[in-house]
Amino acid sequence: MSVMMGILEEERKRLEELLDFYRKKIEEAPRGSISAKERGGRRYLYLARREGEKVIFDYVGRDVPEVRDALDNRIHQRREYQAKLRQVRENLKEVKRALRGKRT
Amino acid sequence: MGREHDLFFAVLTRLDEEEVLQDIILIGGWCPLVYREYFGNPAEISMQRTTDLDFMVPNPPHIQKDVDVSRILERLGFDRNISMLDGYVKYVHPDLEVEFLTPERGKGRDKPYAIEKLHVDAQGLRYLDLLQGHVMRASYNGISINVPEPAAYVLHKFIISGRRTKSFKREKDIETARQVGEYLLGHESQRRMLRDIYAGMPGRWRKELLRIIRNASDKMYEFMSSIEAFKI
Repeated sequence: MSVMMGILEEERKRLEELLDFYRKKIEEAPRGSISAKERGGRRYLYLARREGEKVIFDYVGRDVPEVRDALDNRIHQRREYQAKLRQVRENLKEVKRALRGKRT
Repeated sequence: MGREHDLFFAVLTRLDEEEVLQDIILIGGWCPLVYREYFGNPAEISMQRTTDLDFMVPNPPHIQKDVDVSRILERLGFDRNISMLDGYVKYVHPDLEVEFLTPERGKGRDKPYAIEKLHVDAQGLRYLDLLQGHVMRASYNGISINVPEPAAYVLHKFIISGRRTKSFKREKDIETARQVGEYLLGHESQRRMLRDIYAGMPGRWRKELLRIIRNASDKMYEFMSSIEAFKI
């Protein structure tokens, strides 16, 4: 294997591992957006997400600043992971293209 | 080398601002970029694309300031990836991967070394003493940074090439070492440095080094073997 091919192969492997890494991170992070409902004079937080035609509300807890901030952070983090996943896919495409070019 | 270079520079800038760069050493594939600038951008020193960014923490570490480097890297978009097998930590990013290494001593260990003041873990590796013992300060795009003396970098690359299991990595090490090494031969101060570092190596290392260089570069072999001849 030539040096350049080796470098590209190694980068392909790294990016594929990274793809799995970010997929797992996204799975672990909460899905949806924050929604608050008032009941009995108290506010409660839910995570609202769409599943087909339906909107599902997952109960989170009382609407207190600590819970809301933590949830907000994790939702924000999920979006960051999604952006990184897109970037990894782009990089992987580039590497695969270069590998095809080297092989032909 | 677009995005990864920008990120490399962003890492250096942040570590410099936090006064971390003065206590650690840039090693690995990004060094030739620093050497290029140091020698006035000669065409002979090129740099192959690399997504590994390695920093060496001296052993023992002499860290002046308590800085959460882990946090700095996270803010730059890196994520901590801990190996389930051995506990080694990498900071991953779509464009770059940062690792901290430290010279392995004695029997060695199969888990990372906690660098408490920097809030990172470093992986112990053999032969890094050769780099730690020969460090210089260079400027890269206005940032002052510790790198191994180019002569030490070259000799280290040749030595570790012999321990690589993957053939392309071995060839890459040899090619980088040959390229920078042959350039250094054109500078008397660097020839002296090559001579001094080589002379200070254990006999077993010197023998191994000559064996590798003989197959890698005629110019380097001629020079290194002449040192050996005069040494005895």
